[in-house]
Amino acid sequence: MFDKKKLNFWRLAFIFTGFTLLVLVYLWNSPQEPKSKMMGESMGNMMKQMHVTNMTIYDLLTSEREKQASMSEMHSHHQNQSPIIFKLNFLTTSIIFLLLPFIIGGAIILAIVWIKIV
Amino acid sequence: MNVRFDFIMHWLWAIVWALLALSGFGMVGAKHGWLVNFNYATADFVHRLSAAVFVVLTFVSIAYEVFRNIKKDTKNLAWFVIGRSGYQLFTFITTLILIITGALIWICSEFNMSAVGFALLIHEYISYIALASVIWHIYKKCHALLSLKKPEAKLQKG
Amino acid sequence: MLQKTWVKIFIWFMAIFFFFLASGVVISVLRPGPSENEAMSFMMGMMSAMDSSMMGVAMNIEHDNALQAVIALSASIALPVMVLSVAAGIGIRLWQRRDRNV
Repeated sequence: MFDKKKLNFWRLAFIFTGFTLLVLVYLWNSPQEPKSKMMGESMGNMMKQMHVTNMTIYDLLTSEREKQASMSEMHSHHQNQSPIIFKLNFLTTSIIFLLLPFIIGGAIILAIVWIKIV
Repeated sequence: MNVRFDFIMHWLWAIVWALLALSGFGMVGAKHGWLVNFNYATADFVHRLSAAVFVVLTFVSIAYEVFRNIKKDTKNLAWFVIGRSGYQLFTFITTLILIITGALIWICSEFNMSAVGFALLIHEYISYIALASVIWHIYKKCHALLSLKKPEAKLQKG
Repeated sequence: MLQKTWVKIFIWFMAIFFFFLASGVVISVLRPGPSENEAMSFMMGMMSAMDSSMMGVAMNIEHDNALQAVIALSASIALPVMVLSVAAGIGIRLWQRRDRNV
């Protein structure tokens, strides 16, 4: 297992495992601040608990329209960004959404070309 | 100096992936916030900008692979990020999942929140798996970690 | 290429960075739960991201007509591109096979 060729990997792994363990031991031993009731989970888990737990496929396909009012309220709230942010947002969003169909298309091509028919 | 296209792609990919991972894992939750010092404005900025670069890199490598197939070029590109087997295939699949769920999260106000929650969950877990697989990749390709002291160390093929 | 000193240093840097990330994630998951303070700064950070970064702008896509047009365009070309790519995939496959069998 401890191959000579992998020596550098094991060196890194041991250093970082030791570092992780040390930090964890230190954190659990330090005086605990009062634990927060909220935000204990990751964002995905919080969203899951809030929304995903009782969801069907049908819910995925229909979109709520009643949020519109609150969103336009937010819109007026978000007007204080600098123009460069708006430009960059436009640039990145258009890059991503224009290339996305082609990425999916390319993936389909490669999947068809690569699949082995036995 | 002979610089190969796949070598450049590999390391550009690695840099962009590292930026995305650092800013993304920092945003996962309150327990992870120390990774970016709770400065989510910068983390969000970096995550979105590098996401665009990541999509462009993915597009370029997919297009390159498609043209290689058209030209019937079967030469093995050892450093290329996507390919038909092994870790290259794994990277390809995780990249597609991450990009598609990321795009769903990006336009979250267009969908209902349960779809976004679902996409966030997949995005998060796939990135954990991908990070673990990067460590595995470093283990497999450990021979690239050459000692800095001995310049005569031989690189192994593989 | 791999024998250049700066390439070696760079590869070491990337490897150490990914190890750092992995241990950072492990520490984040296994550490004691977030304190009141951290939850507050998490929410404050998210608020500031919405105020002064692209997160807030991206939430307003519904009110940005140009971006709406871009997304509508990409949605409308998605299906034709997929159909075309299925055709192209089969085409490339046949094109590769024709040579191999000869």
